[in-house]
Amino acid sequence: MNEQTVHPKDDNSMALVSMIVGIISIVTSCCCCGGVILGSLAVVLACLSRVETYFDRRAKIGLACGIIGMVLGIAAGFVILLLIASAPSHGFSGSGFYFY
Amino acid sequence: MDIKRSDLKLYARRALKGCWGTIIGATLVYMAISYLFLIALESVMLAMLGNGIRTLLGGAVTIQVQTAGVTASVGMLLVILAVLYFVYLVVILLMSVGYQRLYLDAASGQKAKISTLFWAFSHKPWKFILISVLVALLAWITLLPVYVLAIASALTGRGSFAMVFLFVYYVIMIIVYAYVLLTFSQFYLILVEDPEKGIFEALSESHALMKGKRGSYFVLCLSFLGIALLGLLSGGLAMLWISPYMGCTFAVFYLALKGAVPEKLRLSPAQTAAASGPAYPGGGYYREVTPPQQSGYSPASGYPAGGGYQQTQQGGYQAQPGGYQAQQGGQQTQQSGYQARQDAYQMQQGGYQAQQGGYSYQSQQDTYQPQQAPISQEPASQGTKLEEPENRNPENGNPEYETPSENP
Repeated sequence: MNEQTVHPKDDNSMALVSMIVGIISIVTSCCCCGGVILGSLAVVLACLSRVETYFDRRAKIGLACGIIGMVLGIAAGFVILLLIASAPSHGFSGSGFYFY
Repeated sequence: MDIKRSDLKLYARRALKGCWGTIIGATLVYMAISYLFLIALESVMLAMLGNGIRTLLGGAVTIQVQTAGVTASVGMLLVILAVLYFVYLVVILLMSVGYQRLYLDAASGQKAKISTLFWAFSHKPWKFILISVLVALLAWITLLPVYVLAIASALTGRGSFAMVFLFVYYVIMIIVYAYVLLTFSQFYLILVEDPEKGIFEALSESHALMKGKRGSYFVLCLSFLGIALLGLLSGGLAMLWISPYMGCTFAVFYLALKGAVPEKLRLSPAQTAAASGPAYPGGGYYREVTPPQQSGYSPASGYPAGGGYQQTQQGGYQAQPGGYQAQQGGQQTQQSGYQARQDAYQMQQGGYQAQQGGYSYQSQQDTYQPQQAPISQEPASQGTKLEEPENRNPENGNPEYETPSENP
């Protein structure tokens, strides 16, 4: 009996995209809204990639990275707002950073 | 319908798997056409405003507008604007209907195509336009008391009564709107599925389908709030995926109301692969390939085995019960599905007549049925020549027939 074996091909590309976008969201979380935009996109893609009753492993990673990216992005936004609010009127902060 | 909300969403995701690209492409086409119309509308409006004001400032009595070398009056531009706006509304409306059809196709397991976006242009377009006009008219009529009261309160200067009335009226109208929208929520999908149905027939069918399911539909709508919020957070980018997901879930809900959810959506991809047995090549699952059935002779039966469609038969005919062995070497028989039959060799050897009824074998079956006619043994004279039948195929048979060496 000739037996031909085709290796399983995991074609859940949306989970893969979710993972990649989630990782990018963490990287760009310190940039302007990068973490929030890409993080929420990663979470949405991870949720939509579930076609079984369980989450794909890459979708889980994408979900986690997306949530982390969103949280970091929101935190970075708050920090930037606080720094802007606490900046002296002449444009210099105590540490010497320019804010405008 | 006894399908849970989470299952409906799962079915929608399964239905969309594999056609995300098509649906997102359709969304991009929809957006491109919408923006083209909007750009055209804004260009005409800007031309009217800019050139019209300039002409008025110049002291002209008749306002002339010159755009792209064409001089036109403002009245003509207004007509152009109205026509363009009407065409824009019609195109957007019909493409929205095509969207519903696209979602229904995806949920039904049919192939989703971008061209389905323009499906409504060729399937009773005036019916959908008429429905939209009637719906807009009804909405305007329900808001008529608000307009009347607002004008009256502005004229009389008594605003307190108007405020109370408007509050109560809005609360009542929200309840009525919600009831009507939930009751006739399947109206468009019914018409999209079968455009031949009448408007009132579709309304009554939607009413019958949604009986006792309004709450489920309402909760289903509310359950998209979270993911819609995420879509907003992503700057609207994720709405490219969320909006088809929502549309397809509503289509699956409609199919579930009718009890027509495709079976393949109920099964996970792994279950589908397992249920369908040996999967297709490249489908991503293990496959046990059965080689082509061996035609011809079975080794177990003592005959040489051949594979595939080309049968090499060597060794030929087995010894007859009478003790003769007729060697037929190098016979090559090509089987292509038909039944090759070698008709009877009639051998008259040593006073015996050995009749062999030939072999019947098919290429696709592993069946080998030696059809041996009953051998009639009767005394014959020595040295009788071998006679071949006239209808014997010379390509199948071995012309060099070996005469049996001994006579039992």
